[in-house]
Amino acid sequence: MKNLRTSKAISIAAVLIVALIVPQLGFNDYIMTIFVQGLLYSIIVLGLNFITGMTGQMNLGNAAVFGLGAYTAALSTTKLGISPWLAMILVALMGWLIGLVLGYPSLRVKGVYLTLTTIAFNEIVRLCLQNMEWTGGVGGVRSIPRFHIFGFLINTPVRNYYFILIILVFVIFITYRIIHSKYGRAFIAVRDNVDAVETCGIKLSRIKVQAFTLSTIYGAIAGGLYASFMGYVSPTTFTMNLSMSFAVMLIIGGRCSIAGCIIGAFVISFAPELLRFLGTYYQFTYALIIMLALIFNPNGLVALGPKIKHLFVKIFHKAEA
Amino acid sequence: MTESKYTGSENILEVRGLTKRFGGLVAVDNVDMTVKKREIHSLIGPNGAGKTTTLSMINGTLNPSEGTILFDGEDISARSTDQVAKMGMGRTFQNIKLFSTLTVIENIMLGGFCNYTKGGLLRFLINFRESSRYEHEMREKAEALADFVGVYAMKDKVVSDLPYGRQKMTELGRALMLDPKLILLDEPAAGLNPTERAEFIDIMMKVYDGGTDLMLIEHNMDVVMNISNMITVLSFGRKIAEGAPKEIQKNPEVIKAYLGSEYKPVI
Repeated sequence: MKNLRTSKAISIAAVLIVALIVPQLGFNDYIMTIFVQGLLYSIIVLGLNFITGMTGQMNLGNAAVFGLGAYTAALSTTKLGISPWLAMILVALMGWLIGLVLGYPSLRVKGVYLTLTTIAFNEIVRLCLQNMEWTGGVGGVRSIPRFHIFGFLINTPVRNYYFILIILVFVIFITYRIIHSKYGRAFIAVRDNVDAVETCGIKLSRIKVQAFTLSTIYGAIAGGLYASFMGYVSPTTFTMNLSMSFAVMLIIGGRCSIAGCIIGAFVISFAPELLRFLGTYYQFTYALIIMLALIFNPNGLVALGPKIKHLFVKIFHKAEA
Repeated sequence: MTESKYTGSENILEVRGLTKRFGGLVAVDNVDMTVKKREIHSLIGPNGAGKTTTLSMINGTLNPSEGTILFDGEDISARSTDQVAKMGMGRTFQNIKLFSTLTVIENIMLGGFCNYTKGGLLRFLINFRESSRYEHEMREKAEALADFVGVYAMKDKVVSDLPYGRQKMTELGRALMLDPKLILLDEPAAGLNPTERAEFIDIMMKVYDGGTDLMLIEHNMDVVMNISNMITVLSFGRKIAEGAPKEIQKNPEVIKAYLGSEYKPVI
């Protein structure tokens, strides 16, 4: 038990050190941008994990949540002229509101119908952002101000990387506490056996809305950070495709696991780069890999670790004999 | 129909004119029933008599079409399951309803969610000391209960890996986490082998001696006749008899509808 804890602490420290070194390895700005994207998507997928991974309600409207967060930050900073920090409070409030709007239908609509509802939500939000005048139409919003910390302007990808990394660490800490608490267990209880939840004195509607709200607050905050990082937002980013990608990140990485969410977010963010050599066969190969992964490794990449270990032990034993 | 001689405080549960209609089907028809404090009350009857429906209405899972339910003197007819649970009514299910991917101890701990939660999620996140104290107390109590129902040795196993009998025990442990005044047990002995059944009865009697009243649905007549003080018999949604085990065994209507003429009591 103690051994397990120290080995866990060592691996966390190792990951953190690697994360801190990455920007010093001389990647160009483009690659660094993908790294930052990976960090932002990690926040979203950690949020999505609450509702889709743990509570078991498939949500394909997360790109809209991400978009609404981004637009809240973009419009409040450019039109109202408030600081990005203050805007983040509005963004979190926005996330909370979306959680209520999306969460209450989930009490009446179940399973695949809920998924369709979230898809509809995604499309409605995208079309509104695209066609309303005050959101800037297809052109979106430009020249969104950057964050300032102690007079330090967060303007390059490397600075953004460190800034968002700190936020991600904080988010992971909160997520860890929730997952390993009675709330985390209650979320999983809803997925495992919804009929028994209320006999434990847990109000089902409340716990479902809580899971939804957590996921949308995470998504909106990631959106707010994204707006300031990119400097502009455009409605064409927040499509159903992006929502699908978030779900894929969660499933490929491994649901209910913090490491899984982050691995999934980074793997899928980098997939276009890693598979670039395939040229026009990229989409085909990407889809094939995901299908194979779902069939042969349904519990995600985090489940691969123990499997590989097992394989090594087996080979080792064979060599010995 | 029998009239209650007792006032609210003496009865843990009072059901008056309880009716449930599913469309044209009357599943439970105008049932009156009183469960006194310090009583083990059994609900028996042939399949489809409306026993589980009655239980579901009592604990708020189903809304009664008509009638009132008083729990410890308070009207709970319109309350939801979680509110009724918070008032101290536990329940186990006919086909075990556990949280299958969680461990035994986590399942039992979930039963105490409401007793160890103050305020919402935000308070939990901000108030570190309070939340870790609650978590600690909850775990301690769950471990004591796991020991009590005999699943302590397997407390960190995923619950779906347990044998059927142990799963039933875990479910009882989860219900006990509520500190219930009354537990509704839906066929607790079904599917258990004779050894497990004896063990389950032993534990149920200990629960009863600890001050919790019991109401059970059961098909196993040895269990029913041996442990209950009072029996209500339902048939086709109606109450056909109520009384002590000895009276019920001799009641011709009950024999005709349920026990069968060949039933020989083994007391």
